[in-house]
Amino acid sequence: MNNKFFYILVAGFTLGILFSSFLKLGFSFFLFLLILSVLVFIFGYFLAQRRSTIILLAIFILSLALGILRYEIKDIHLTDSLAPLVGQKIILTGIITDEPNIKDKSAQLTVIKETGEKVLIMAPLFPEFKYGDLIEVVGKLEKPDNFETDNGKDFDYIGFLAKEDIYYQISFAEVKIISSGHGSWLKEKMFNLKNAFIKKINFLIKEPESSLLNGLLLGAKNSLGVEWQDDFRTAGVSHIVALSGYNITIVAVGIMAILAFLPSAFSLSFGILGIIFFAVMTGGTATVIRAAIMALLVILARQTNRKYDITRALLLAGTFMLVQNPKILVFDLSFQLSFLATLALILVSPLVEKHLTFIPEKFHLRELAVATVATQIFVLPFLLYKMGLFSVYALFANILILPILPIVMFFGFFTGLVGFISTFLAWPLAFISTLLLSYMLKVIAFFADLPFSSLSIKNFPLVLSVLIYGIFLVIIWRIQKKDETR
Amino acid sequence: MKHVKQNLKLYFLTFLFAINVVIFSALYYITAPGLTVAFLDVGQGDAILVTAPGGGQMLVDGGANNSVLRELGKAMPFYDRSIDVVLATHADQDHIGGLVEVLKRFKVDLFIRTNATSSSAVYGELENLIKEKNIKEEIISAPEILTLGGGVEFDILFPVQDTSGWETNEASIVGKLIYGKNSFLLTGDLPQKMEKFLVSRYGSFLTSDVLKAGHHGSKTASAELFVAVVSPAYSIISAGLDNKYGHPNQEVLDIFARFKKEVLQTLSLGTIIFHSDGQNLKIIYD
Repeated sequence: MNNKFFYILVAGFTLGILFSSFLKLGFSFFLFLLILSVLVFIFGYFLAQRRSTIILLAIFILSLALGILRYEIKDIHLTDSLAPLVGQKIILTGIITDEPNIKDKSAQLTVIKETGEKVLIMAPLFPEFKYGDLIEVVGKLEKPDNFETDNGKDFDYIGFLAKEDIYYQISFAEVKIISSGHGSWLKEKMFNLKNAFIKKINFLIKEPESSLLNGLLLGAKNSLGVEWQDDFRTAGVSHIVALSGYNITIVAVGIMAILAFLPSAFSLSFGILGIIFFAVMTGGTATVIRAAIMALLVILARQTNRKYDITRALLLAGTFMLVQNPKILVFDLSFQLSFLATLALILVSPLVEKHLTFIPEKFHLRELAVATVATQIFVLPFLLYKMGLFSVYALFANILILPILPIVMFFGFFTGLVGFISTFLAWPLAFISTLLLSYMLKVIAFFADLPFSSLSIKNFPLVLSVLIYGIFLVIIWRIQKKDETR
Repeated sequence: MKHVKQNLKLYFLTFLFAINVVIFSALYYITAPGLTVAFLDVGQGDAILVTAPGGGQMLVDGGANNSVLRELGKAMPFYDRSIDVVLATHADQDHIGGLVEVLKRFKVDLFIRTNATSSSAVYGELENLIKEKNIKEEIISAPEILTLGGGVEFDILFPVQDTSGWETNEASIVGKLIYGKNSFLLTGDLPQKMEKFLVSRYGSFLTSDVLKAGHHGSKTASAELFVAVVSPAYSIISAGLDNKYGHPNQEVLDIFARFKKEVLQTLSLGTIIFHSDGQNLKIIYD
């Protein structure tokens, strides 16, 4: 009963948010469901037979209503003074509230006004902007538009920005820095550390290898350039440069593997410390913290072998993240991928492992192959829906790349670290990192250039992916049940 | 710890092998004979990497943005994190935009420019960086000869006076790269007016095997007379796909066609690399 109650609550709440994300349900719909749930409850309470089932139904409807309510009130605290100015040339002063997103030709700045409204600014690359700068922007205020991706898939750009409370943008802006240092002290220090690290890497390692390393370690992928990003997508490996729970898990697992000779409590503690350090390094944004929490769950699952508890903990953590920001369910790729990959590592990995016993255990080879296959299979239906692209060789590309990922991250991290002490000492490390990174890029380019490397599937319906996940869960459940009875 | 010990031999051998790879590839690059001139594919903009037989390197312009970094990554050996000379022909975005990151990421000994400065934010950033990194600066206000080692020299032909306050294109640094019997003429964005001046001052000395067509093939440059005097076997047009200026201009292409000169464009060929042994030119496409 307790278990069922929990799962129904989570499912109802999540579905409520899901529906709200796509349909404009409104506050009245919440009231309708609320009243309905009360009625069902009363009906069930006074009905002697099958009482518990009806009450569960009432709870489901209630949680559905709560999900809808959470979504509807998300933006209630926001003021909207900019609406009448859309289409006009305006002068706006505000503080850069996030790390500038530096692309090949422009810098993307998120600016917060005194009123608390956020505006996305497309600024020139120079002068160099940084977090906490107070800037004056001149340009035409616009509402963002949805667009079609290269694969012909509609991309909900409005929703993507709305999850960060951004509803306006200024393209081709003229920007002037008035003064610096208006951000939070801690965040500023953290970004400084991160940027000093990136600078060292960039000085020691050539492009595009340095961009790949920065992407792997810090999720900073834009400097790779459009062509490489396309290749990553075609080969089905773009997840390695998106900051997700998976990368963070690898850092932690790597640390624990190196410290395996210590008592397990020690290696686990260092693994956890590694995750926290990593989250701090990468700027401690909401995305990173979400990914870090999921990574923690994965290493706990590996260490404790209590699969059911960890699965429930993951669901609970995911639900809390949705309570905090309901828009990430549909509009945050990082959250979606982190969650699915984590679920795959906990639930699917043990099932896959049985079939991959022919791979030697040396250098954690089998473990990595298992993790790769498990996550690839499990994430595929979602990626098909989201990207509309089926990377034919993704499994091969990933198997050739992922096993060396922890090694690359290890050497890359120490290249930067030693670089702070001495360029000369860091040089051999930089050399090894470059070789490994070049290998990864060669593999990616090879698979991206093969004929039929990706198939464009424009309209893979959401319903179909949800259905596939349903089938997945049933299969997992049945196999586990069979194992238990054995 | 046990498994680390077991694999110690393997680790050591891998390490030795890696060192070997570095030494041999370094030797290969250092002793590689001849001059290499790479017209890097940086979209709409110029970036030319010159590597002399002794390993001396000069980067002429850096394109509009950071794409030059990836091209340098391809054109240079991976352990080479220094460029001896960086030259900015003039202060426009499509020639210096990528240089900020170049100066940050590479050890640069000498920066060459003119006094026709710009008030743009990029230029300001570049100036700050040169000061901050203590890079030696040379300002061109008279012709001079720059030696790059290995018998390669770069004859700077223009400007011939101080260019403070000049329009930036008109003050473009023009230089002739000479190695044995081969030569390359690099003209930045120099307009026709100044091309005429070059013809009157230098005459047939301008004649070169390769001409980097001025101003990305715009009709403001590459006058018929100038092309006739330079008489290049190959002309390079460094422009980006679908650029908003409509470069290269059809009239300019017609002029080159009339002289039956081969025109190579980075927008269709990507990076274009010339290799010279002092006698013959070889073209490699990247």
